[in-house]
Amino acid sequence: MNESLTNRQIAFIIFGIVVGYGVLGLPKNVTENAGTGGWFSLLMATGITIIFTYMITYLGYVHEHKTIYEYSNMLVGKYITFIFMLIYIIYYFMLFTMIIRMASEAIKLTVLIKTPVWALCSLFLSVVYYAVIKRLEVIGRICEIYGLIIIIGYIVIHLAVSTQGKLINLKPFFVVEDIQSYLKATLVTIFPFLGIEILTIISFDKKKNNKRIFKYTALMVGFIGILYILIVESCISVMGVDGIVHYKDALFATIRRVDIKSLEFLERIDGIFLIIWIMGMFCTASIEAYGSIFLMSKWFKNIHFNLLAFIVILLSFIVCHIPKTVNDVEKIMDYLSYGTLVAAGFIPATLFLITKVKKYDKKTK
Amino acid sequence: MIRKLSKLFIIGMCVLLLTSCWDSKDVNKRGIAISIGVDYVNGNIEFTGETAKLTSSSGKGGEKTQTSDVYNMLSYGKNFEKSRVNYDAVSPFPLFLGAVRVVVFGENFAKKGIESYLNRIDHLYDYRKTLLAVVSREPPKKLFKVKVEKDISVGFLIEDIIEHVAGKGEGLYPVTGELLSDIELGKIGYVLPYVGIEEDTIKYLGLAVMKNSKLVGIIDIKNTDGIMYILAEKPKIVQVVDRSNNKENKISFRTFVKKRKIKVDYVDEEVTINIDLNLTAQLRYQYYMEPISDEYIKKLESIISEKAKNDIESIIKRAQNEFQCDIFGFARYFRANEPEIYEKINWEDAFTEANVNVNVKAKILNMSLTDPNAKRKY
Repeated sequence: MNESLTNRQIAFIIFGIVVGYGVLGLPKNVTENAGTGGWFSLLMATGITIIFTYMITYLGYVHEHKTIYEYSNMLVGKYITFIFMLIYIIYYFMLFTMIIRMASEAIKLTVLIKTPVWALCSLFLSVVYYAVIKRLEVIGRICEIYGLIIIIGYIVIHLAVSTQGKLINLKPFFVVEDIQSYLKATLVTIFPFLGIEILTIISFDKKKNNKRIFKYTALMVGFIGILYILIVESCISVMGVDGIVHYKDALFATIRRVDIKSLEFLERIDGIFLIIWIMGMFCTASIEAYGSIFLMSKWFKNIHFNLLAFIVILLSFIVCHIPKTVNDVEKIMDYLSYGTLVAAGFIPATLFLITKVKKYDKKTK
Repeated sequence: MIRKLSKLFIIGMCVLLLTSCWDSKDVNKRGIAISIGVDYVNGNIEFTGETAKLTSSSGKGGEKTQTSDVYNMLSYGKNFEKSRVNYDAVSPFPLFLGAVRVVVFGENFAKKGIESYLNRIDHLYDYRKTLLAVVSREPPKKLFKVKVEKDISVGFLIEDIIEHVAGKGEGLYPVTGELLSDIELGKIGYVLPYVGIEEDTIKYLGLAVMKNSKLVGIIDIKNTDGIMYILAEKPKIVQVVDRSNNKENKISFRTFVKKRKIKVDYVDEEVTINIDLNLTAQLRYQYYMEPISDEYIKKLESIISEKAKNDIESIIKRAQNEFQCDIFGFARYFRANEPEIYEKINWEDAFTEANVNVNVKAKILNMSLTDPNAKRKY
């Protein structure tokens, strides 16, 4: 049942899951912690993420045709795998549920004031359900197409935005005395990169995925890093570091402050941005939903995948209404982002070390 | 069959869920505001403005040829919210603010501080953040009553005038977003276009100086050149030079800023503002044709740069002494250069005591294709 993807699709799956909701508040989080030197923190975070990406890719590459469920069973035994899987399932489930809730709230607060959140949520969830039951290959293809649109959209919008900004707002680029705070900020800026752990549920096929897969995943993470820097810098250039820290939706706020007279058709940039952002959200949510349902299906082999998906989505619809206010959702998201350190860092690192120590990589060659 | 139906069902669901259903409202059922005026009258906030008249006022026979069709609104209240409640109590349709062209602050309100209203614009979802803000000498209520013949309405007229002036490089077009950035930076002021009624029409009068978002002074339109050299995106200032040996004759130039370099340093515990400008000048015409020698061009260049230098120096001096406020945003340059010291010093004081070095180099590029030195054979 494990499906494999091409190198490019895997790279775009990473893009799809990483670049999603987090982009909205990224400029605020970065500037709050590192000021105008945020680009440096982002660069550091990109570097660290590339190391983790390498580890996770390596796991999939060595254990061909296996996903984390199988190779974890082999490496650490059933009991620990059970705990690992539970963590992943809850983590993915909560992530996509909360992301859908937050996206709906954000849309409600910015454009559709009178639309109830449940309507937006159910629309999102029904589309996600449809994508999930078509399985990973289709999601991979969606990510490929959407990813390209999102990339082009973000680049065009943010280049356009930066033409409206002032260079002076970006200075000082680097303050040597602040290097400590830049390093500290790296910890915070690493969160928007998390999502790479999704590689653990993709089984690799050496016919399709040769050694170049490492290049593909690392380059994609590097590219995301550069895209993030472009986004953050263009926002700072328009709003300045003092203004941007007040806005949780810094990206929206920036784009709403920009009016490009010479590009009349882009006058309502926020509308175009919203479409691209929702596309990104959709990719993130469907991949995460798939991750959660896929791992569950390993346990509930008797239940048909589609039915399981339906149950999970229904459950998600209920759970996504449990938090009463946006603040509650934000708190949950904060906790979840610490959970990512376990999901993307600790668990893959452990498995990676065991693989290395037990020399599985040599055996499989 | 069931499969087909299920698809239909999904499409039907989407249509239902398609979210704009909740928010949609017929355009005829909305009051579309074109301009908003905010003033302070007898302890009350006064909202005025123009709303587009969408319901036709026919019935008096035939079509109206007049294109402009707006009605004025007016409401009072102790604060914005109460004033809005009063407005809602008399208006038939909900007000839509997304089409507002300009927000006009009355002098009384500007003196009390406009920050609160700028924040309101920032956080009300339908206001554009790229909205033009101006200060009016006359109360907005009076301003909106001016009969406009040159444009659709007062709001459009003000926006078009300011856009025209700013486009020519002789004025500024500050939008709410920029003003908010200035406010958020703290420690600096900003300038807003200043308008008023003269000879029954609306006129751009100069710039209103805002310190802590409160009106502290007015710069007359004839003294704004110095600010334009520093702040305008592409300043194009017209300069007129007297021809020394013939007082009747004048030479008209248009000067452009080719390169502008602002650096704010910290030398001997004092802030030093260095402004380097490279101007290019274009001779437009002489009042009376006279030959111009190469030597004289050199002299003209020095006159032009001297004039620009004086303009800049005098406006900075005025900001330092009269307004005591950094309306040029030099704080940004200082922070970029000396972030550590910026944290420690009080910028407001440092600015008023700062040394200013202005260095202007002008170069006359061309003579607009006329040859004043042409030789005559007969």
